[in-house]
Amino acid sequence: MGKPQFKQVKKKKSTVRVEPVDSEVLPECEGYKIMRLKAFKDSPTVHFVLAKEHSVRDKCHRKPENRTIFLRSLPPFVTEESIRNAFSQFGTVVDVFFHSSPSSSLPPTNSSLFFEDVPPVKGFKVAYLVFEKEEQANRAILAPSDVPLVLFSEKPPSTLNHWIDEYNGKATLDLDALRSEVDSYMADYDQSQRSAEMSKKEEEEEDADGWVTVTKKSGIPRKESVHNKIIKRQNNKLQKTQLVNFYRFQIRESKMNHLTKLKEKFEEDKKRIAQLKESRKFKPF
Amino acid sequence: MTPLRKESMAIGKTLESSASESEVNGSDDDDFDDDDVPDLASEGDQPVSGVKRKSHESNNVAGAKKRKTGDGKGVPSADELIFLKETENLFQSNVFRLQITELLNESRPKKSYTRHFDEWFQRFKTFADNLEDSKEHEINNLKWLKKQGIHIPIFLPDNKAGSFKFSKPIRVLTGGPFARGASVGSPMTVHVTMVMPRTMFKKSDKFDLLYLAKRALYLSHVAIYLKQSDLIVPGTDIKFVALNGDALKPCLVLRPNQKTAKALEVIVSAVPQAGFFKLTQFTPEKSNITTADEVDCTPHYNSSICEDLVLEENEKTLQDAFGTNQNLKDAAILIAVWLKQRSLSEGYGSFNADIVCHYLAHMMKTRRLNLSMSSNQILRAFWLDLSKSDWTVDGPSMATDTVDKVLPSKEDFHKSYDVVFVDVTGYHNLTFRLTKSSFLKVKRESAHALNLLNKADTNSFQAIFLQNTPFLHQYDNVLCFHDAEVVSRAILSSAPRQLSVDFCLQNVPIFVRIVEKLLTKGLGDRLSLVGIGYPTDPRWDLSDSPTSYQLNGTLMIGLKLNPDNALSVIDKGPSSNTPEGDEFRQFWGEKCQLRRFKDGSISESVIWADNLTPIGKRRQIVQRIVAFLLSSKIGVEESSYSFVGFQLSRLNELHYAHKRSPEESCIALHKTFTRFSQDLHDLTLPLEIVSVHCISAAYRFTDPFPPTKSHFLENLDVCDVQGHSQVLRKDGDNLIPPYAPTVDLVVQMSISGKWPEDPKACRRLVAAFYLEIAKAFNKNHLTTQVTTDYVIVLKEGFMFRIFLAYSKQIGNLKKQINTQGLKQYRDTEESIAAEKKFINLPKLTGALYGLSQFYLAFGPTCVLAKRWISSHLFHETHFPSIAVELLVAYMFLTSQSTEIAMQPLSMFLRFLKMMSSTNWHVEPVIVNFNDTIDKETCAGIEKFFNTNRETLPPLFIATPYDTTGVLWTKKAPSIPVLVRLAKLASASLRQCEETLPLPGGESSSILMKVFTTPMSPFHAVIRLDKRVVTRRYQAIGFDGKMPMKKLRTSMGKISVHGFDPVSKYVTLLEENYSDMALFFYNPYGGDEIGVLLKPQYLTGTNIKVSTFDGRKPETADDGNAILKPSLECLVEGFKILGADLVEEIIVNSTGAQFL
Repeated sequence: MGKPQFKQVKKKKSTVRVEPVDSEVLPECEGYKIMRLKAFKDSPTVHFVLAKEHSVRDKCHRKPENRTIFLRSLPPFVTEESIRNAFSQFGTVVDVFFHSSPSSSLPPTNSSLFFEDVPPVKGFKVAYLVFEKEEQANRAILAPSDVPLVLFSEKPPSTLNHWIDEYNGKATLDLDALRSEVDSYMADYDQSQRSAEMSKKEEEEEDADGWVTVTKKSGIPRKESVHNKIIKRQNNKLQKTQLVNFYRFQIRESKMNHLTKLKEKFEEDKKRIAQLKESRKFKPF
Repeated sequence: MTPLRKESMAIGKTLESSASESEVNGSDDDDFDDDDVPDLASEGDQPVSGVKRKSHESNNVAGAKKRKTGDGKGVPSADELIFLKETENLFQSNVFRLQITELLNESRPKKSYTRHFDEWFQRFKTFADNLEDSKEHEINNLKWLKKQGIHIPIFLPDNKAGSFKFSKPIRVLTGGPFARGASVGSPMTVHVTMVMPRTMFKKSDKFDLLYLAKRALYLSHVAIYLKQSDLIVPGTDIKFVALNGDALKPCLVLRPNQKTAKALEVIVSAVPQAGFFKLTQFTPEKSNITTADEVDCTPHYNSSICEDLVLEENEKTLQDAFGTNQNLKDAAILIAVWLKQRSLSEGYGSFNADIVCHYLAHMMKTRRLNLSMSSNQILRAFWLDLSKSDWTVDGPSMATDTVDKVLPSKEDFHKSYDVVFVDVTGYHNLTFRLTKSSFLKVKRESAHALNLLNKADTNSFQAIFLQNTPFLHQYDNVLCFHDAEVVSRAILSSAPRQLSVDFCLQNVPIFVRIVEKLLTKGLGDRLSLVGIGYPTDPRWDLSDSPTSYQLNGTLMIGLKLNPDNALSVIDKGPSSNTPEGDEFRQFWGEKCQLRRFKDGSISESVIWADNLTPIGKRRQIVQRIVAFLLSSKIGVEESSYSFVGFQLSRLNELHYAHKRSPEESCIALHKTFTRFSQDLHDLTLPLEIVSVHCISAAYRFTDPFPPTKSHFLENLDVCDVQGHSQVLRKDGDNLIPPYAPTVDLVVQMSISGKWPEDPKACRRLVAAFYLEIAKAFNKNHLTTQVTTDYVIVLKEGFMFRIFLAYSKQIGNLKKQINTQGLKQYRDTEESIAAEKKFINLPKLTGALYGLSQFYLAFGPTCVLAKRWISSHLFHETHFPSIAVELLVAYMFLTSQSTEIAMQPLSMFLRFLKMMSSTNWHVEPVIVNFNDTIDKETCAGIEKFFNTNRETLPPLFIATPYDTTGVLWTKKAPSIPVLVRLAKLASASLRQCEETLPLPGGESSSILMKVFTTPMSPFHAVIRLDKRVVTRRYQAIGFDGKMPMKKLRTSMGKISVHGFDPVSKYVTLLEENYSDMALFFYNPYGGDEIGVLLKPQYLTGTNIKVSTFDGRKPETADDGNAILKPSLECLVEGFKILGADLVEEIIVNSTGAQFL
């Protein structure tokens, strides 16, 4: 921990006040249990997170309801390894899934060696912990909350080294591997495009019951801009049929409109001046 | 007009028309200061006064209608129509007219002042009338005066023969601008003049200062009684003042009235009764100083007496011309404001209000102005006239030749004075105190004002009248003299006798004349103008000896350089063996060399630097020339004055590398870029390359640390080599190489329909293209490095980073299909980012590059501005650097109160001024490159800005390429950042303006304080391990050297580039803690990160899931559990995320004070 004296002072203050809460059971929060986490064994700082049994309407076989606990408000520095570390005392953790917000499905993963299509989860996050057995999950959720779980057993991973690896990896890409990965991806992509097209075509053909799907093919692309253009053209046509500035009252009206506009502009300018005046713009010295 | 009065007016009209009319007209005068515009307009403009009554009559009919339309909607009423018509004819626009009206309301002397003054003046008259005649005193015996505690305010002549006997003034007059209702400033000065009876004088008093001595004694005598009277505000003192800085003509200055104590100041002077001294004796070619026989004419001495003799007549002429012409008075006020904002109307030789009024009267007389002109038209005519005429060659004259009087000819005047403007008597030169350059400065400012007036954009009014431009902001370089000793020594050693005698030993004007002449000659065509900033008029207590003869305060001499010639390294003189050549050689002495030039001519010349000198050093040639001239010609050494202009030049150098400046690197980059772009076009690729654009700041000359051809030698020790690239080493202690930037290029491919619609697939295809490009370049023997996002090519030492743009990219990112199955294109976060990078930034880069080529100071000013903003810990997230560049560009392009300077320092001062004084909430920034945006579009943008203000970003910057004004500043800067910057800017500006004029070399180091910031505004400070600060050499305090070496041109290794752990760490923190805190750091080598917690995080809340992140549960005072922010949790998080980067985190115990 940092050495400044102030930290100590604040610590004392907070112990005085928090002590009674510490000994009690922590309050619940909207059905969640409040858990304590510590980064290191000897760290004085306690991080509070929320935990609950996992139970949702949409099921996912990788997140079995009875064996999964759901954690939220996890600090950004929590890694998969550290969370496994913290919960290993309750049993074997099979899977850990991080999301930025609760989700019943699995997080998308990067399949490529080179391209990061899915950015890592940022900020305070939620996690799904899947235990091997049901009772392990229960044990974890029922554990007394006054003993904080410890995330890191040793020094946290060096960020600097991580970045150095990242840089070196980028600087010395295996170009042949990259080329072949791109080629195979594009081949797959073309294949899938082609099959999508095929299936579209198939739809148009007679199916088993003798039905044919008919789509309108007017040749006009279904685009918003085209749509707007058509509407505009129609409006123009409509306008051409009207007489403008023809009758005397119309001429009078347009003159009046002009004057009104002049005045409106004047009023606007006046408003602007008033605004400038407010910010004491006209005091020259 | 108040609504109430309007109401009563309307009722009055319907009841009885005649009665209401008188009431309306009666009330009109009282309403002089009211805001109702139509009424004011008819008040301000004489010609329409006839219409005024008519309009009020028509009001009777349209009364009811007017009430209906008064709310700003509907059809305008009759007098509104007249007003609009008038505006159209006589003014430029509504806004301009309204602004003038507002300004006049603020500047006109208040009615109450005149009333208070009139009352005081009556009392003063009685006081003067009751003064008793004194005994006769010998002038050489002033014991009687000393007894009263008064020291005579001028230096007496050596042969003080003569006697002084006081008799009461025969008349007391008021005059000056105040009497004509055309005075400005705070406090306003009122001139009161006593007319001394002729019985006091002898004919011989005109010789040898005797008259001036008597005048001074007269005032001293009056002061004795004035001191004891109730005519001054108790608690204030009467003082002597050297009006217009003229030591020969001291006056009394006092505060007349308790109620106007702060607003009014009376200056009491004395003139002799007319007709006693003959005007013919004071013509310029006569000498009235008998003690110096060798001097045959004393024009300035003559003029200072003559000025008193003709005062009454001149006042009368002005009174006749101004009379009741309110428009003329208004114009005089406006011109006075204009002059005062540029400090042109201060000190000895100023272009003061009197000269302005006389010239307006002159223009009236010569029919260049007429009675029906509005103040706006008079202004325009005045500036036009002044910018076209040259009073130094052919000055105007108010005198009319008559047969029986032979007036001195204009040639006589021009022979004796720099600037000539002959008064109505034909004997007095009104501008006798002016030097040539002071007139030329006014002339040039007039031309500039006229330009601004014609430009007529929203800022021109502000620029002309409202922006105060301190002397330091107006010139490229300024010399500041403080030491009276230095000045007087220079005069003793080198002033011609003629000058010393003529000016009766007044140091400042003599010195100014010598230096002005010397600099004009020595700097030649490097110089376009010299300007003089006089110290304020000296004032001193009655009992002190006069301080007006010596330099008292700071005398500033500004140099406005000529951008075409100021940077040349050689001054070519005339060819040798000619009289001119000899003279040249004599002037420059040992500096002079005989040189053969390319055209074959052999000339005397002075070499100041060699041809390879970088621009930064070339700028400083002027300083060297000035130093040489002052020390060799008048013996003023460089240590005794301050040369303002290069105190911040250290920031415009790459001081860690030998003999390099950012500008040189940028030029080299441009050359390489041209060749490289050709290389790219020549490649054979599956798709053709359509265009290549550079988007790096170095291309725009605005990067403080641009990429260079050479690379750091340190890399060789701390990096490994793998293939063609240097890679980082993980072990060891001192292992991270210094930061090396790349040059970013955007390459547009030709249009093809084959691009897939899926962005992921496109990324793969682009990567495939990178592979192709790399392969092609490898064939040309250039080193490359491929990544999935870009490819780097090493060419002539520069690392070009290429980003590919393809036709469908932005469309793909924008495409959506709505519920009706219709294809739509909508902006998304990614599409905007891509559009910025691939479309907007290249355009902007081109435009800003153009600007940097047109204005030499643009690039360096951007560098200073960027370093200033970043040194106050605002990095890209808080203030995008492109926004800084755009603001600087705006400053160069929009209406400015004075012309653009070519030295970065004065432009940087103006930038600080802009940052500190602009209210971004009401002012849109429209950067109009090459005037591409026409007036209508401009007006449209402004209207859009005004109507949608609440939804637009705090800083609104529109460009020709983005008229919505949100592109660059949508996310930042925020209002608190702008407010804090404004505060910092005004503090920095104050510091600069105080420090810059200080003599000696210290000012440069003191000024660096402006580029440091306290860490107290933050809740916590993260100290980083110095080892990971790869940009440490960019820090302001860095003194070491970083050896660099050029690479072999082909197949070199690609250095470690763009590796900046600090910025990566800050980005990491921002991504993870954006809900709780803001992070501040200096990207240029800063090793501390300031953490500011957001207010919404600092508030305690009930225990809720939505606010649980980063907080801790606690028991509140009432026993309920609540959530409190937990700084220690965040701090531990910062530490873990920054493992190996963070040294320590210090929590601020006193709490943060950001604003």
